[in-house]
Amino acid sequence: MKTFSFIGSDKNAGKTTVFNFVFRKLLEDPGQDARVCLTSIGINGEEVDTYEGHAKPFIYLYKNSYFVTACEHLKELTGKYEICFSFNDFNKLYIFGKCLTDFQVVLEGPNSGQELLRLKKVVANILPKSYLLIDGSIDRQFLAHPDISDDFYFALLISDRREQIQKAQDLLYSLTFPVCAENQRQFLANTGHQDTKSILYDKKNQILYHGSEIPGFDEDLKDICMKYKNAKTSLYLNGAFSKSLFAFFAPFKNLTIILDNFTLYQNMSVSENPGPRFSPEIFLLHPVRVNKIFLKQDAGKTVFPGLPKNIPVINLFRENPYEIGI
Amino acid sequence: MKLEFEQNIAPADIFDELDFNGFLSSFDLGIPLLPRKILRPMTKEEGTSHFRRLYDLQAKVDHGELEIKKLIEQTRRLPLLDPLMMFFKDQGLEQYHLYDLGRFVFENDALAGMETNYPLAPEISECCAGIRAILEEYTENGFSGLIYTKEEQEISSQVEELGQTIQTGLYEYENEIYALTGIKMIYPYPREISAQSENISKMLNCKLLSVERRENTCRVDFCLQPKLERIIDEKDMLSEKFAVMMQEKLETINRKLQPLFKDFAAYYEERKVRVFYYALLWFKVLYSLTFPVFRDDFGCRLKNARLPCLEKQVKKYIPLNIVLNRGSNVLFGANMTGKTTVLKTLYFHLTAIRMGLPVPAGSAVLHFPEQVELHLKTSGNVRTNLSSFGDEILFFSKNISSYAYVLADELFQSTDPVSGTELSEIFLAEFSDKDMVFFCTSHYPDVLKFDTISLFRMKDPDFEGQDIQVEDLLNMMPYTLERISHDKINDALGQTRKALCMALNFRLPESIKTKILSALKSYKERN
Repeated sequence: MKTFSFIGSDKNAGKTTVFNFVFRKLLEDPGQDARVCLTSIGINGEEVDTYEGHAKPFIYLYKNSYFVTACEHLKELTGKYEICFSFNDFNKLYIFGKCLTDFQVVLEGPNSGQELLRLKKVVANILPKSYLLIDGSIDRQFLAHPDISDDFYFALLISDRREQIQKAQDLLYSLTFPVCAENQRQFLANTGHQDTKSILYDKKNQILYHGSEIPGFDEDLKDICMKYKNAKTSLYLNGAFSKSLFAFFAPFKNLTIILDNFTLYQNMSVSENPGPRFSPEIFLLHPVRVNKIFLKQDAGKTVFPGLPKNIPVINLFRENPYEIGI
Repeated sequence: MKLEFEQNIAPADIFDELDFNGFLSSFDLGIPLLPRKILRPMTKEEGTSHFRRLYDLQAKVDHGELEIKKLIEQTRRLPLLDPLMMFFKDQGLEQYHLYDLGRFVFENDALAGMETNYPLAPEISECCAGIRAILEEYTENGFSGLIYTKEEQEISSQVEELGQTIQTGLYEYENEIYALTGIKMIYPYPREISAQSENISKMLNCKLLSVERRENTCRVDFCLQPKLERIIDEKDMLSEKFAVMMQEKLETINRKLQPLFKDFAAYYEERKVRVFYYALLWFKVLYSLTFPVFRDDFGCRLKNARLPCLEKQVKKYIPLNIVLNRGSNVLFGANMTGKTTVLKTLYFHLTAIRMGLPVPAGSAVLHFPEQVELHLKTSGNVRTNLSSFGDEILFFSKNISSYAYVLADELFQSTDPVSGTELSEIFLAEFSDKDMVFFCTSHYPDVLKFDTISLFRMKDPDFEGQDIQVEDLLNMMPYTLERISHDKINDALGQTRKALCMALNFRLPESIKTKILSALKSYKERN
């Protein structure tokens, strides 16, 4: 089973459209006979945007495709699906079902990494040759763990608003970080555990600090980093690398930062102020596996600075979808 | 199964130190029917009946009438129905509820087949067969889908055919638009076309399209024709009719199931209780635990009792063997010989038994511990404005019932030796006469001469004169207690300078060590 996760730079970045598009492409591809199962992190597929009040693209399922959603979204769909499995020991009842006909649905899957892993195990057991599509969210960092997602599809909004452009560029910047060296990867794999949020270590791999608090709130981490500010050290982070952390670490010339995955980079500008010059080098523990970037251009711009060179960039609304592979 | 104790059963610090959570977490046997259970302290009657049920179950397993491993495997297949019982009662079961209900009665049938020698609630168990018959009439593929009537099947097929017609219509639409304008109107919509496109005038004139101008781009969407709209309306209407029929079907199923609810609810609760007992028995087998045996008189005998958290962390673990009598029992002995650990081990076992759990011991024969209290030395509490002495007195002001076990470490060591000895004697005399077990440690020699108490002494190694490290000293400790009769109390008390000998094994300044040696020498000369 392959798992594709979908994330968007903003609300209305066209994530659900991309989700629907990839789903249709997988179903229509005559070369593949795999099953497709859809779910979502939290709730998606509602008809109306809760915040902005306008209509949202809905999620339409086709006969013989599969889904995992919370039971309350199936009340009006009696007889149109059959049940493959019920997750009745999660924090709410989720149904893994098969569509007996086409229908529109609200998808709402589990919202934690542990439950998602369990869901994957069940789906892979029942549908070993399949694709699992997860309508995700950039603030769910567990999605980027290699045990959860094999590949990502990234929906990127480009508007005329300078703040939005800066935010989009910051997001794209996180896709350009190189992967850390293999010996570092091995060291971190052997040292970290499920609760690890940060590890500070020196060039001889001596651990100076091992934290399980969210890095942004971990004052002990900041204290120990200050203590070793002039030494050659590396800091592994498995929690949001926020604007305030970015500002804190900006002057650390001898520090190397290793983020667990690209979704942790959340130094998103909300203004045109570029912020302090950042001295440490940033690496990723888990490589970026973004398969494609799908643009939604509210502006007339055709050229956008900062797009990664090694990831295909597509505007679904402007290019011929027949020619777009997945 | 996540087992938890009811709040405030044990003081938080001792609960953590003895790792009750670690012990309780080993009960997680992956049984969906028992996701979480809060254990409450039992009364003597409840506890006796609870463990009698476990002995009966054990006897059936021992005689080959039940296969506990297979039973546990089968119970893992039973889904949890708690969330749907309310819908069952109110005739509001949905399709997904029927699936879980069906799986339960199906798997329960297999489980009941393994319990022919120990049937569960035979007077009401027929309800399961009734539910299964109804569900098999209306569902298929292992309760996963609803069976359609001929009419429902026809409507479903019509909806599907109309869906195909709409798809074909849209495909033709796309082709027609392409022929007229050169634009490929395929998902996603609306298409965004450059305002400078050479085809833009054709699009603006095409009745099949709507075009919205926006700066450099035009947003182009479908403008559906009435014929296609009529088909879409017809499909929606039939879909609605199908939904109504499905709703009526659900109502019928709910109506038929409802009379079985009362018996099933009772049966389901019985099933959960039975599965809990299977889990306790399986846990006992899995971890070589023991069920306690209750005696009619008062006292406690533990053989090879283990404290799991300590057993895990030390290389050489000595289990506890102890016999406590009705009334007052006093344990004395040198420092570092394990007196407090004896109290903690006892507290762990008594608390677990009070909550109905098997314990890590070879055997446990005792009166049922309706109340278990433990007092460990404290340094007082500035928040409650209590000194260590105040804290100890407060502990003894609790209501102590019959069948209680009261354990106290270094009794009244919190005050001066004269008052401490007097208070100790008063409390020991008080508890000596009660139908309970009072067990304390003490360093006051005069207390030990009190003839109505049972005396125990922690054994210690003979190391006097040897130059050994503290770690080696700990390894030499036998961690074993012995009963001391009152006629041998003087011999036992003769070893009260052990603390001085032990101090010599620490890295103290030489000047201090010289003074300790001198004190020991004069003690020997006097005796």
